[in-house]
This record gives sequence, C-alpha cells and structure tokens, in this order.
Amino acid sequence: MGMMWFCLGGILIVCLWCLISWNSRRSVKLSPVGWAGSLITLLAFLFTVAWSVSSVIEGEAQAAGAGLLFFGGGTLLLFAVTRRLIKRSN
Amino acid sequence: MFKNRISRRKFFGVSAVAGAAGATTAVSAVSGSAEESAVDIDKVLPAKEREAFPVLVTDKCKQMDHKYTVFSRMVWDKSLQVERLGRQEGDKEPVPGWTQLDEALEQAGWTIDSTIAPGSCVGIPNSMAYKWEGRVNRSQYEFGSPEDAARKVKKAAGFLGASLVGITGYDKLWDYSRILTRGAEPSEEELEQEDQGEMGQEDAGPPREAFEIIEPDFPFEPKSVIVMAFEMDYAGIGTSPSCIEGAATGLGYSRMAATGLSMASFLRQLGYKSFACGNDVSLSIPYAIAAGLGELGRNGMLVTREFGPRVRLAKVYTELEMKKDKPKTFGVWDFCKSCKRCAESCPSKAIPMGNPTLEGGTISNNPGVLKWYVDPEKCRTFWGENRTDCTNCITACPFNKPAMWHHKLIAASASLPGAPLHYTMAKMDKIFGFGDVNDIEANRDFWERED
Repeated sequence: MGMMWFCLGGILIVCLWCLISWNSRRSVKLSPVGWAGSLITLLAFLFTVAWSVSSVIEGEAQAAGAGLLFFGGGTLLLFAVTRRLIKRSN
Repeated sequence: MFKNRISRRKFFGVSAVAGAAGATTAVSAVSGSAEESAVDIDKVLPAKEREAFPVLVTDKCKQMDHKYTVFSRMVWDKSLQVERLGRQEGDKEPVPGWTQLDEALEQAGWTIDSTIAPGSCVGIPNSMAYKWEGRVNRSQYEFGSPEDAARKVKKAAGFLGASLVGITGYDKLWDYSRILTRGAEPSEEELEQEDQGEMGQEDAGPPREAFEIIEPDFPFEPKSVIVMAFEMDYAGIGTSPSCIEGAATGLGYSRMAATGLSMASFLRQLGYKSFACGNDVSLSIPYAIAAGLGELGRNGMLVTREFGPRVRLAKVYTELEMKKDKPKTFGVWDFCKSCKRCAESCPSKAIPMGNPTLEGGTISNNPGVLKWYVDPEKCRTFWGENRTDCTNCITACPFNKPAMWHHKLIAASASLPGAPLHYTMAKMDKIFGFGDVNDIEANRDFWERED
C-alpha cells in the first residue's frame, strides 16, 4: 500500500508538471474552468487507480473491476468534457 | 526550450506541490501503514457526540428477564430445543465449511471461552473468568482525576486485547432483572424423564445440569461499566454460515473472556472491586451504544464505525469512578432504513424489512425501545438446523469492511443524509461484490488465501 501511495504521488507531480508546462505554451491557455476541470479529472483518475489497486491488494477482483468501470468511466467522461471546454476556449 | 516555458515562480510552485506530495509519501513509508497516513476520514466527517441515549427508550421498557432470552429458553422451552439434537458425525456432507478441518478450527476458536468462561455465551454469569468475586488489593491506587483514570483504563484495555473500548455509567435498566445460573444437579426423576424423551426428541443428549433463575446480587455497587469490543476475523466471518465463521465467532468469545478476566484482574490489583461479563449479567448493546462504541443497526447489533457489526462485546463492572464517554452517531440509523441487506440475507427471515417498532413479536423481545426487533426464535432455530451459528447479517452489512482507506471513505460518507444516497450505496456495495453470504468459494478460499 505504501508503494501505491508513493506511485500515486509521483503520477500527481508529473501530471501537474505537464499541465503547467502545457499551459505555458502560447497556443493553449487554461481558463479557471479548464484548470478546475483538469484538476478534478486528474484527482478522479488517481482515485480510480487507488481504488482498483487497493481492491486487488485486498483480493476483491470484482470491486477492482467495478471501480474501473464506474470511477474510470466517470473519469473518461470528465476528461472528454474538460478537453472540449479547453478546446473551445482556445 | 523547456526552460523558456517554465518561469521561476511556476517552478517553485510545482516544487512546493512536489514537496508536499513527497512528504506525504514519506510519512506513508515511515509509518508502514498507508491507512494510518492517508487522510483521517474521522476528522473530515466525524461521528457526532450525543448528550442523550440516541435510541428512543419509552417507559414501557423494563429490565429484561433472562429467563426469556432465547438462550435461556433452550433450557425450558421445547420449541427451541432443536440444537439438543447436536452435531452428529457424518450427517452433514463434508462440503467446504463443514469439513473436519473447518470443524477443528471452530472447536479451537471456542477453546479458551469454553475453558475459562463456560456457559457465558448463553448468558450464565459468575463463573470462572467472569467470577464476581476476586482478591482485591488493599492498597488502592489513586488516579489524578476521573479523566486520568479513564485514559489509563482504556490504555490497559487496548494493551490487553480490546479492539475498541468505551466507558459509561452503570444503568440498572440494562441489567437482567433475573439471571440464569447453574443450580443443583438434576434429580433422578428428571434424568429419567429426559431418558424417556420427554423433550419431544428421540435423542435428548446427555443429562443436562439443572438451572435456576435468580435475582442478581452484585458484591459491590458498580459506578462505571467498561465496554470492550473485539474485532472478529473478516475472512472468517465472510464464510457464513459455516464452521469457519463459527471459529471466528468462537475466537471473539475467547478474546472476550481472556481480556475481560485480565481487565478485572488489572482493576482488582489497583484496589477496585470489579468483575467482567460477556453475554451474561446485562444487555451488552445498550451499554456499548451509551459508551460511544457505535449505533444500533437493523440487524439488532451494534454497528461500529471501525468494523461495522463484526465485533463481540464484553463488559467490566467496576467501583472505580471514571470519566464517561458520550454516545456517538454516524448515520447508521438512517442508512439502515434504506439498506436491507441484512434482512435480505437472513436465511430464517428473522430480520424485519419494515420500519422500526416499539415491540417485537416474541417473548424474547424486550418491548419499549424503538428499533428493528429481530425474531430470535427463527434465528435460533436456524442455528440448530445449520449445526453451527450464523453471521449472515454481519457479513452482508455494508459497514462490515476491512480497515482500508477506501472503505473508511465510503463508511464516512454514509453519514451524509438522503435515503436515495443510502439506497444507492447499499446497491453499489452488492455490485462491487461485497457481503456475499452462503458462499462456498469463500470457505474454500479461506484456507488457500495468504494473509
């Protein structure tokens, strides 16, 4: 479990770094809504990964799969909406 | 190129985030327990402390007479003597959960209880580990304050094996008005009647000891009641109803007796008269609710925030004055109104599907408390037929989860109001694969899965 939190922390940092560097490009600018959407999507993604990995560690394969389906599906939706919002604002 | 895109200010911003995340992960690594280092959900959505007892108790509620508990009735009520048939070798197919290996584990789980607290699980008090009298140190230890006493007693209880501990005041209402106790050996006439199958069964088993109902007479006036909860094994309880589940239950009883005796000994060594009790002497659940250990659930059990209903309860009566805990609520009552998983999974349909009421349907229900009255006759009869006990209602409860961060998060969110939310959570719990009962695979996996 400790390793999982360590990896999630690493993913969080890398994703934030990418977001900031992406935002600094002149071609793409994140509005406050775009920032909020991106951060929520990122957190939802991390939650999905954390849930599924924890469920696998726990030995609950069904919970891991259902987590990927429900939380992962929700994350994909969030990602699509956020992407569209950012594209529209640019 | 990259350097040009990131300003110094942004670089330090990202570094701060990285530092915070790094610190969090470092704490995880140092503590060795991700659950402990993750967000403390109890602080985000804390249980609410209540000034009053959180369950409606009307004037109609009187002290329960132990004679009418379903366990006492096994002695005198022919309709409940199913289990007197006993487990017979070879009459249950050795399916997973009832193999010799499983039965041996069950016997082992109960060993400490049956050795040092025989009969307590069915409510017989004042024997061995749960003896009311004991040598008390003449030199009485002086605590700094009632708060100091409570803190040290709780520390000792945790050290000696309790999973949860709370302290409440002595309330005679929750004591049995009369208690079942072992009396004289049965007379020859009684033995003869039993031999002739007067109990309505062909094989009435070995001659029973005679029992009598007496009014309790404690050797001192209790001032505080220490209530201890003991977690039962998650995987073991998940095999219900089977012998492995019976082993988890038995081990819970064994831990109750061992820690109860140790706590009584600790307090006597400090110079305070004390005695421990399990299912005997008093109703454990009201005391546990009053001590802030949990809430009353639809299944008629204490639902704790940490383990759900997957606990057994023991009490220590003592003359030591201590600071009392307050009852706590965290949404179980409202959640149970929408979630009926325990009732759905009950093989004897002993748990009601409807709303809470002020009285139950049998003489083993003590009326006057607003709650879901479980039918103990149906429950107990199934135990007899099943040849071991049953914890389906514990297994199926959505609050019954191992101590992992995501389960704590979901359990904490159950305190948010809204019947549709609770209904959805209960359904999702099932979709996610939790709370399955009558699961042969769970029995098979129990022996194969590594801890």
